[in-house]
Amino acid sequence: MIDRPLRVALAGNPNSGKSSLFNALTGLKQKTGNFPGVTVDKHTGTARLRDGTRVDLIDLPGLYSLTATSPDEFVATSILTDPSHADHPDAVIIVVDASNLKRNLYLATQILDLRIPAVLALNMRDNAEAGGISVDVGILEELLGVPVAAIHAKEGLGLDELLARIPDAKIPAELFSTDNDVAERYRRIGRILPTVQAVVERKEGPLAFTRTFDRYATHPVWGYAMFLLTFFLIFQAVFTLAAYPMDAIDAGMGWIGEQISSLSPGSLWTSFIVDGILAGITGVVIFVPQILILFACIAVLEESGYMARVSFLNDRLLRSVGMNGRSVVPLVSGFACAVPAIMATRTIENPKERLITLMVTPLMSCSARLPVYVYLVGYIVPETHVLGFISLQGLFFLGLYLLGVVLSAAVAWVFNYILKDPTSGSFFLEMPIYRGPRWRNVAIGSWGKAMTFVSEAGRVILVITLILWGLGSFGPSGDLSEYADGQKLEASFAGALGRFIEPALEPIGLDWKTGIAVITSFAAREVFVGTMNVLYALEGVSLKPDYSTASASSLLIFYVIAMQCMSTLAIVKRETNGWKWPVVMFSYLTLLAYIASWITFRLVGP
Amino acid sequence: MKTLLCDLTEGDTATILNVVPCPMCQKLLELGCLPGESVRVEHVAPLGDPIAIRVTGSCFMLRKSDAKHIEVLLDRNA
Repeated sequence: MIDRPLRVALAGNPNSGKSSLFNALTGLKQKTGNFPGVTVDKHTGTARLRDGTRVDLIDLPGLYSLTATSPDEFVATSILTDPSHADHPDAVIIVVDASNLKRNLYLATQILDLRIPAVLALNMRDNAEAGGISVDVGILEELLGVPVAAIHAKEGLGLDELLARIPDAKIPAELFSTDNDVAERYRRIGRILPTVQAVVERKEGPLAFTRTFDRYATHPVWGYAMFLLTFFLIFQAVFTLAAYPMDAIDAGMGWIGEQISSLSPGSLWTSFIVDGILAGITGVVIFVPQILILFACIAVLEESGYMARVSFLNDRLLRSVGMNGRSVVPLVSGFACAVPAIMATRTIENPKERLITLMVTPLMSCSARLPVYVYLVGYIVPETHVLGFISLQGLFFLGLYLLGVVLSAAVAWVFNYILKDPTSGSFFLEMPIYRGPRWRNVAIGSWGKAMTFVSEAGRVILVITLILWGLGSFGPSGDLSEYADGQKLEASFAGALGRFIEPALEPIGLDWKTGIAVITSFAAREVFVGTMNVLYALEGVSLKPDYSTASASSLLIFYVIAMQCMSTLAIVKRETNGWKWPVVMFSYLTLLAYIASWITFRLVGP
Repeated sequence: MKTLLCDLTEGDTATILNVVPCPMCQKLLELGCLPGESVRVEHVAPLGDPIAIRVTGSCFMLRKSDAKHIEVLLDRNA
């Protein structure tokens, strides 16, 4: 007898209700991580059988067959087919959608033929019945030779019976098909189907609504209108709604910092705790509201089925630069914040198309750039209106956003040209019938994303914050605690670095003081404004530097493009499993920013 | 009339004759694009590509570059 809990895998088609079942069985006793070596979500959890025996559950990525064409599918199939795999299960629960029995049985019978003890969970019989089809559980069990339990995963019905039958999981007496031929397997399924399911009456059921709705959702005018409106609302939610909890986090952490500071004002240790550690924790937690909101929105769109229509509408356009229909979500979210946006690239199955999307997402002007744009715009464009009501500065902002979009398309095109991947070029996506989202899945999913970010990207962010704190707090002459804020920064290592890079800044029209702000704002772009205020503070009043139009333009263009965000780098490292791509991203964006700033400086002229 | 799946227009129904060998033909077959099955073009994206087809009880989208590997017989009075 094995001396560990029974290991059970959940396998099934995408959209078969597999994740709902997993959430229903494990509740909050689950965790999300990566499968080793790949960026595929690994969901594990525990459940208890009626006699109290513990069962370790693993939710495998969705499959249509055991022929894998994407990293997700490779993970799932290798776990099932390779008995020496660390996650190879003792038994498998095959989730089958009763409303599409034929295609679901294709995978189910393939898994049965692997000779792993199995139980079939027949889900969504209500959908089948609404479509006029009834399925006989008893006959299905008899014909397949494994226990079959009817469940309703969304409502959490039939779970007890399913759990009760897990110990009965068995290997069918004989192979379903000895032939590895697709048509042959489908033929055999076709033979048993008439005995298992009966068409009670021919009716379209939920399909009728889906067809009608899709006529609008894929319409050249209404389709795009619906898409733009939906994504405008999501963008607003991430941008505006998240601002309240973010302000609260900022204020709360600020208050804690003040309390600590008041204990021992001015000491190096206080500064280390408040400006180093506390600032680092704030820098991590501050992203949680945006991640929660964005992933809740994405989950609702995925669960309802609308996301597939969005991909359908946009695939052609994005394909021309090496992405696919699924790239829409990260790209649009990037306007709010690149961190959750890059986490959202996980839904893109093709590795090359995913990488390209990930690499260009930081070019979307995120909300943290706005304070920098506002700080600099006055140097370039006067505060006037054209036609009496259109703000010239507003138009200029729009231009900056468009610049990011155009550059992202150009960069995507270049990456598409350089990177080679024979599996890109195809794009299959099921367009499921519309249905209400399962709120439990939405909540569990977005919470899992936020926790993953905190635990995995959080460490990198904390470390970089501490390094930046060190650069600003120590100088070549040692302890700087005697100095006032502005002079302290100038005398610090950050100040020395600013002077060190000045020769490089001169050709783009910037001086060493701006260099300091560029360095410190690597923590987050908006820090630029704070640093400038400290550097140019005179007797408590913050002045602004006397930039020429050319210098300000050059600096602005630099901030449109440059990778001035450690959190983005941290999440890219997590999402690509190493330091290679974050380094490539940082290098290409910094180089591109520098060249663009140089051109801008020359063009605007002194 | 014998034609290719990628050449059908929205609302057409046809019968699949053959899936010619291609990198993704195994996938197409497994998704249910089998010879003899009836296929319906549910929607064509505004830019003419991809297309959404209904076959073997489900609807999925595919690009025309993959759909061109599926030979079909267009139903007469569709």
